[in-house]
Amino acid sequence: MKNTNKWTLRDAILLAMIGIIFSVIYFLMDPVYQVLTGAFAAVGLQAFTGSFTIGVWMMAGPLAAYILKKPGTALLAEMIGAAGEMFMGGYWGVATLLSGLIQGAGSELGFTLTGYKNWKNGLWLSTLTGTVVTFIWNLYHSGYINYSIPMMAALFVVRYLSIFFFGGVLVNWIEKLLDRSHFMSPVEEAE
Amino acid sequence: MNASQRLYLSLLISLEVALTQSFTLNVVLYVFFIGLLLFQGIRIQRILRYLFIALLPTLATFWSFYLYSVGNLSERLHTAYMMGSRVGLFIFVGAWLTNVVSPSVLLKSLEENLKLSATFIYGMLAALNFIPRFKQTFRSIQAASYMRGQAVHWYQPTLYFKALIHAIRWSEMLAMAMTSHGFQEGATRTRYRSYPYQKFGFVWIALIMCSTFIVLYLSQY
Repeated sequence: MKNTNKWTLRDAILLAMIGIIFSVIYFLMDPVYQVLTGAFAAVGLQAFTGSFTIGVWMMAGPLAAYILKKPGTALLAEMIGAAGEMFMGGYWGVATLLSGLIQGAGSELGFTLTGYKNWKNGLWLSTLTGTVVTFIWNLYHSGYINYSIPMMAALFVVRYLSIFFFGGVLVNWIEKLLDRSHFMSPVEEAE
Repeated sequence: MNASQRLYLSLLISLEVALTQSFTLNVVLYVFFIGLLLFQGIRIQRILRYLFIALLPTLATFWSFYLYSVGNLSERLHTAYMMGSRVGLFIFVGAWLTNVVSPSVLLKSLEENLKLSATFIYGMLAALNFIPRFKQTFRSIQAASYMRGQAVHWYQPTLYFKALIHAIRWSEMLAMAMTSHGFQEGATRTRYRSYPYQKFGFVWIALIMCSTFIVLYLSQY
């Protein structure tokens, strides 16, 4: 899609829809997370559930940014996803909104660092910034800071791998499918 | 309090809880928000359901920090109590917000109170109506691929790709429909219903936040 900074109604709706698709996915993933939590909790490694699955919860931002190619998209899409999840009754309640804000800002930062010019590099960079920002947030919010250093390091690595796969590889793959389908191109010609 | 003010308060409270390490504050807020929910006239069964949903993650969090956090036994126990109690607290604050405020009212009051772009807000309002359709779409995408003897899983790009194709098509159609019904981007709009800030709302927010600071100051644990 063409990179213009002007938001049309269609872009705004598409952004909201991407957010909503993912809020449905996030909501459907909540029970999966519960089951995993139960499994990990038995050995007290409940924190790893979050790190394993975080990538899924960080897909909306990079995907929206990569498709719409406008500044601020990642942050907005992630926040819409989070708000939708909260309203559907996801079990993190209001903490979802804060997480959405942090996760969106984390992904957004990656695209910002490229000056919103190179979206491909931005995508890979966003997996790294997303990991760092959400990890710092979780140090306080999920209390990772109370764990020992090796445990923290392990949590960081697992988190990065998860975000790299879901927020990077999978998003890139989806974009490739979209490109190949030429689904976005008629619009581009019309603009 | 109007919808925006409710949102501010719940964000402030959750930020405060996330950044402080007080078990006492969590317990006080826990009781306070259950009280507020009861005051809203929510049924007791509903509250029990929330407690039930919170049970497993609360126990899991407690157990994890009890085993693996740093410090001696009493410090670990404190961390475990504090982190465990957060889970339920966030659920109750979220419930307090979402039980009386619908997404559309929240969006409209944010538009009015924060002067957000009408294109965005109306775009979101339009897209909100598609939540049920997306749920249905996910099911039909899966059914369609089962018919071809394939399974789509949540970790495969195909599922998202197909859902995105729907989103792109629907967003074009919605934008067209809205324009043809007279929606103009960037035009000044009149309001059928107005959602102004309520004066006492900010007083309440200030009062509640000050009380939490006092609790934080007085609490030892």
